[in-house]
Amino acid sequence: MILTLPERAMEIQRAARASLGGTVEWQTQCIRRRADGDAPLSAFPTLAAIIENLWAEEAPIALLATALVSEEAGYAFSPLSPRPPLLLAWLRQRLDSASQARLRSTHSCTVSTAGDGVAENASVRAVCDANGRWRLEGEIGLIEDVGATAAVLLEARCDETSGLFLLSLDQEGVQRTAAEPLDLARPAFALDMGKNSPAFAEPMECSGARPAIFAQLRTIARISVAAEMVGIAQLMMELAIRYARSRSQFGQNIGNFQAIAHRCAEMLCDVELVRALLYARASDIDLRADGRAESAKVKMLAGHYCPAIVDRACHVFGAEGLTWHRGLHYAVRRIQALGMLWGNTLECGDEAATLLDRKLALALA
Amino acid sequence: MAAITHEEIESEEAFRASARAWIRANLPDGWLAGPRREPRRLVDRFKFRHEWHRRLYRGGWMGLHWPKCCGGRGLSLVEQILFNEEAAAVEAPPIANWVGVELVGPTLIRWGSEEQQQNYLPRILSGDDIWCQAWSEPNAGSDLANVETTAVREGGDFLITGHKRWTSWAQFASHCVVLTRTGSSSLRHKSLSCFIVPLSQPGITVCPIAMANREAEENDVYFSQVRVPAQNMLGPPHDGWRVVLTAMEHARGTATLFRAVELQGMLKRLLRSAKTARAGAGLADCRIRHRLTLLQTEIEALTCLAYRKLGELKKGLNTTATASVEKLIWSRLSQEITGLALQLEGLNALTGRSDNDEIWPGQWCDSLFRAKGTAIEGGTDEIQRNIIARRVLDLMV
Repeated sequence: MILTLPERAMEIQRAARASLGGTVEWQTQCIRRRADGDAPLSAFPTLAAIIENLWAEEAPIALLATALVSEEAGYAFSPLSPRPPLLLAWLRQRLDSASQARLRSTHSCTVSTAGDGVAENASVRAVCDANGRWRLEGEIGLIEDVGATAAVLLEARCDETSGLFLLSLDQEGVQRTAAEPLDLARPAFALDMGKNSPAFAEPMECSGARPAIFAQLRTIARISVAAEMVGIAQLMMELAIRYARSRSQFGQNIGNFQAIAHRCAEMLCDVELVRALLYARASDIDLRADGRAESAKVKMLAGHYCPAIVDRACHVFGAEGLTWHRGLHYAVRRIQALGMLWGNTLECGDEAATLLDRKLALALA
Repeated sequence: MAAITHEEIESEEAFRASARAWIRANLPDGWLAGPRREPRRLVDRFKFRHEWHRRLYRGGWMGLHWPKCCGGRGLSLVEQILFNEEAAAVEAPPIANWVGVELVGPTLIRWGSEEQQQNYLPRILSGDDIWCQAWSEPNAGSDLANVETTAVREGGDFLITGHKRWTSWAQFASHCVVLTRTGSSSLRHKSLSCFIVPLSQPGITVCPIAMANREAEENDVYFSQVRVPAQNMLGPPHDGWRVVLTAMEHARGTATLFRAVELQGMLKRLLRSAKTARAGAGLADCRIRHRLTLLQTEIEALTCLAYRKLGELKKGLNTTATASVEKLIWSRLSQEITGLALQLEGLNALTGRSDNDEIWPGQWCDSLFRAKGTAIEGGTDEIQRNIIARRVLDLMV
């Protein structure tokens, strides 16, 4: 049960907001500018430091702060995803010293678990050759970039289990395609491995059972994605309200009309509903236990509501909302793209239904 | 959230355990093993709830967060939440005097004189007195400040005359808080006053209103020159609007927690319906599973929202707008649950037949109409959206 946010988590949130630039006025101008840029994370040094230190927080604070920082990234329409550094920082703590050293030697690294985040769908296979070298085969549709990414830390299936591998992108067997992604404002790429020549990767050793590590990774990623979706929904709602206050038709601001005002009120209801569950679960999911279904629920709810909020916000702008120059389409693109990352609404719904089964068992008991 | 200490967690868990044990040991006979079904007829249902109310009172579980000086236990809202959660876990019946305990009581605690508090509060908790609120009128629904019922001073008394409508549970009530006009109607909400009126007073006629679900929770109440002493005025003269707002704040505020709990109970019944529904329409159907999962998640989110609002209340923040957000979500979810339940029951819902022995024939049909009322009572959905637009979003100004 969470009544109000812990002060420490709010401190981190404030710091993240300050590092990202903050005000909605500023963001209005920046959506388009940021959409064009490919700013490296070094453009946000404070945010990078906040993310780096997040996992040093006490357990109940860390995941909640992850959500809050990700929400701020969404609200500020950050060109760079907070997830790669977040997940990398979390994984680093779990790697053995040799793996940590290997990771340190890479220039810049991102994290993926085969795109959609569902283990059974892992599309990358790892094979150990006669020389004891590991080769990866398969493809990943979309990986969140950190700008000039040199390596990917990814999950691959080997025999009946999964392993964590560090794949350098600078080798012949790896084809990196910077196809035009749906989210034009955020760098991403697709990967093909081992098609024409072998794609070698280094196995990374983690403390603890691997399946559990991947499950925890998904939990963190889903909370982060859902939070970012809430941030974008909040931003778009605020932009729509500002527009409704200033746009005049029939001799008055359109925000005076109930049809518009009520639409905005409904947006607020929906964003508050998702945020309430997000904060609550981010506060009480125990990463040591299996939090997948709980985080899937949060992601499902965000996927159900946030794209609809963004659509409604665009509608307030009338045809302006559909223009290229207004730039709102960037938010539509991003919210749709995020909705598909780490399990889409239907996939997350399936996972969440396992909790429903437990509830049903209780209800029938 | 102020950091919760380990001792507090232990103490909360101890409280939860004791509430759970008491509830399970004192539920109506056969409740846990049986279909957990209340009587169908309204009058029987009221008696059933009244008995449960009295049992809770005797066990010391009524008014947990009321101040001790007012007959409560003086505990925090957290304990009240824990108790509600445990009650919801076994779908315990609601209490009979819900209006008295959740709306009138807190309003009396805020606005009542010492004498009024001593006279009424203990009997509200015990269930000896059942209360209702007479606010709305045929021409004062969403526009409540348009009240036409008058209270005219005559010596040491007031004479109340008018027609109140949508007065819930009035046919079972012994007392009523009545909103009246005590000055010029042009002053709108600045000339309203509230009175405590025993419904046994001569000149009062209560007429149940048959609703679409064939039930009559709502009533017309006619006041004809009803004499009440001046000391029955609740709150300052001509300041009844603020008294009403206090009650509304509770109706839209802490009461949301009870509503979230109520939705959890409805969902459980729905889950059982899904399990027993005919082949193809039950839980095996992935479309049904997805809708149920989403509903369950939304109810959980609403509960989280209610908790967050309690945090705001504890900080002394104004929660009116948050309450409107919750009210809107609650009314939508209520209707969705009953709508889905009807689909699950299929044609049986239309013929009043059911595979499910725990619900009475046509229960979900009846609930459908009841759920539609949630979008009207306590301020319509449109009024709630107006409140949000004006007070939070700075629109429609």
